[in-house]
Amino acid sequence: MTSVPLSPRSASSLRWPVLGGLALAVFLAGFLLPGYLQGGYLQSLLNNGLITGVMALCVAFIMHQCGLVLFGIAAYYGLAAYACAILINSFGLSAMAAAGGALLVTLTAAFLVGAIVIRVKPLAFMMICLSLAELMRHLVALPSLRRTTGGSDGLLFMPEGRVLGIDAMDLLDTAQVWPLIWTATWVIAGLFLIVASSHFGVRLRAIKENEERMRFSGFDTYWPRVFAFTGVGLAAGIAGVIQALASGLASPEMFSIITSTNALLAAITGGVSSVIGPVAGGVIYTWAISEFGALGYSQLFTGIAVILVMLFIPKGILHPLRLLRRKGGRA
Amino acid sequence: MIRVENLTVAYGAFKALNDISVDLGQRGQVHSIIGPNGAGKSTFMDAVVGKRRPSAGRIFYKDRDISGDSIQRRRKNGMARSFQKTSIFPGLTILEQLDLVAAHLNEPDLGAIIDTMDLREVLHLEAARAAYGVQRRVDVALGLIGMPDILLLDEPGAGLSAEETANLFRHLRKLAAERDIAAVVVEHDVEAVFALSDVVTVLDLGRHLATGTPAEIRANPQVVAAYLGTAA
Ligand SMILES: Nc1ncnc2c1ncn2[C@@H]1O[C@H](COP(=O)(O)OP(=O)(O)OP(=O)(O)O)[C@@H](O)[C@H]1O
Ligand SMILES: [Mg+2]
Repeated sequence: MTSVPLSPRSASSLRWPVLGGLALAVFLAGFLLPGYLQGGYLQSLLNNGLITGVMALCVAFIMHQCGLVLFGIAAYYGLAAYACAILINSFGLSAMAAAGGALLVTLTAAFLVGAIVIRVKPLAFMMICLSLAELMRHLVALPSLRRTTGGSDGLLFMPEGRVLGIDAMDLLDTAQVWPLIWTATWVIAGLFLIVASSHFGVRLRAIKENEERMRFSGFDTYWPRVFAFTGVGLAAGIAGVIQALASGLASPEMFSIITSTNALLAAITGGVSSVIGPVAGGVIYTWAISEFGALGYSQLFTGIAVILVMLFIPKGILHPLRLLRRKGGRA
Repeated sequence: MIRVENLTVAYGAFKALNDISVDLGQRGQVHSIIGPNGAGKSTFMDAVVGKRRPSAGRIFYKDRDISGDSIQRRRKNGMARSFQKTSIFPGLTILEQLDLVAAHLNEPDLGAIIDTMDLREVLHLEAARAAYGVQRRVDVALGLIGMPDILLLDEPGAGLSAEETANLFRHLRKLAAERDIAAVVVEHDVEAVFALSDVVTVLDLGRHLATGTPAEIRANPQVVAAYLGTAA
């Protein structure tokens, strides 16, 4: 390509092997966790936290790479869960086939929606995405669709076969579903990280920064963002399928505005510019909600948390740490 | 290389350009467009590169009517521009943005552009943190990437000191000659324009007053009356 010599700033050639090794160690150690937690409260908290974390990753990715506020991620999460449940109940598919089918449905839906909403203004983007999720929530609760969707109670299902080597019925156990959630979180976070640092990621951020200049530089500015949206929808779909398999249930609440809000807040709490932030945000957020929810103050907590986060750490909880590290690195 | 025929561009009822016909873009030459504020110079550039739809008239590029082509298509076919109001990617480093565009447009020698625009020292700076003069040069450099056939520069010297502007023009002339680019430059500094241009077009209130060599333009009574005044 070009012959621009990179300046000598890669003095930290040891950095990536060390970080990579550390990540691998944490990843492997994660599989030992259920042995210590013995199921129970903490395990289910972590499970739910990571599911919210994956959704937060999706929101953070679209925000950081495309500058769009995705306030309706629940649509793809819920859609995948329902598609999985319906494929099992009404079409008799095995758990694995249903999961694959559900992801295909979600991928297609996200692509079609993306092809439309990427064209509109940011406010319209936010409102349309939000409305779609709300629309789905009402749709699945329609009495006339009760035989297929289970109505407002949600759709219970009994999965058969194995999912990535785990018996589908075992996934209902919080400890046994953990490896699936843990792996999915790492894979999705890893893919987002790779995409963000790839040529495609730079291209997305450049479109975010100055779309007109991108066109004047000969770039198409539409399809990359449609693909980014599709990928994010698919990732949320993976979270939805796992959640459905972990609970044996697809429920209208999965589409609710609370699901979307939680993901958005977790992303902002954790910070949208890293992949660790949103996942950590998801866990912290889930923990806090469950603590305050037990006291009956969960709405109150959410309100206070939003205000505090926005006022004091608008760039996320990891940001102060990063500043510290940067200062340390310079000294 | 570009032929504009009866071009009219209107903002609502106001005609910013009115029935303009002109040829521009000889390889290796600098063609300047001058005129008072609001004459329609930027609007002219916008129409040529596809940012603004003409309300009438046609634009030919390399003998093909490109009136229906998108901005991207025109750029890929070799028509590049820089902006009066700096238009770069503030959050990317200077190298990141030059590299991105260079890879996309198959630029064979980005190093030469970086050196010509004197950007080597600041490559790893986030563009937003760079000095204004640097940002102007990045804007021009982005236009130079990909061996364009014609480069339209809208007041490349805007906000630069006289010395910086002179430097920039020297670089541009060199590059236009080296790469056999046709340069079309909008500039306010009339003396600089006459010194550096091969051809000059004068616009006034959306109308085409005259096109000719600097000497012809200087001697044109209409131009003197409308724009140059007694100064020239
Ligand atoms: N977006 C717009 N909407 C309405 N009128 C506009 C718009 N852009 C420019 N104009 C008007 O069109 C006329 C030509 O503007 P243009 O920017 O092309 O002039 P210019 O020759 O580039 O001036 P300058 O030397 O100030 O850059 C001006 O009267 C301006 O007010
Ligand atoms: Mg102008």
